[in-house]
Amino acid sequence: MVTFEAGFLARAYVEETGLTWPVLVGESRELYRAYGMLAAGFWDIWGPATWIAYFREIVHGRRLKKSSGDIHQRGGDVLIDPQGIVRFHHVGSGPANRPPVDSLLRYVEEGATPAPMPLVERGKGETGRRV
Amino acid sequence: MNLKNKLAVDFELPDSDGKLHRPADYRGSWLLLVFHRHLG
Repeated sequence: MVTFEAGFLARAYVEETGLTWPVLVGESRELYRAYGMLAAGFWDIWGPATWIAYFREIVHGRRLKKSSGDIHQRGGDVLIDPQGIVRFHHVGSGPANRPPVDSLLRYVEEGATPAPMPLVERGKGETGRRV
Repeated sequence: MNLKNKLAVDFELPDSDGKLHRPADYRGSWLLLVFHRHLG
């Protein structure tokens, strides 16, 4: 996982979530920019897709937290093959726009193209893993 | 911008414990980089 936030926040996040994979800290956001992950616009953040995703989270009994930090920074996913070639590159348009982990794993195992982005945000503990 | 089928961007970044990571460290394995929006 890659974050642009400070190292002490990353350490707290790892402790809170119990992540077992590395959380890389890139405060300059250079790597974000290199993969085209720039600032999202107002409607990307607060558009209907976000509200629908949050509504689904609530329906599934998940508790939402108030966001802090730079909510405009886009996230995304980059899958790199064993030879160092990018095989999947997705820049999230907003909070609700991320590919499901299962479809990324299927790509690794079967070469199946990852599914289109659903209107869900992955929960903590599901984001990022070395495969 | 889509970098599919391009060489991965090189970098050197510390993790939350200060250990440095480079893409070359993971050569030979699939690597998924999940860029988080914000942690809080």
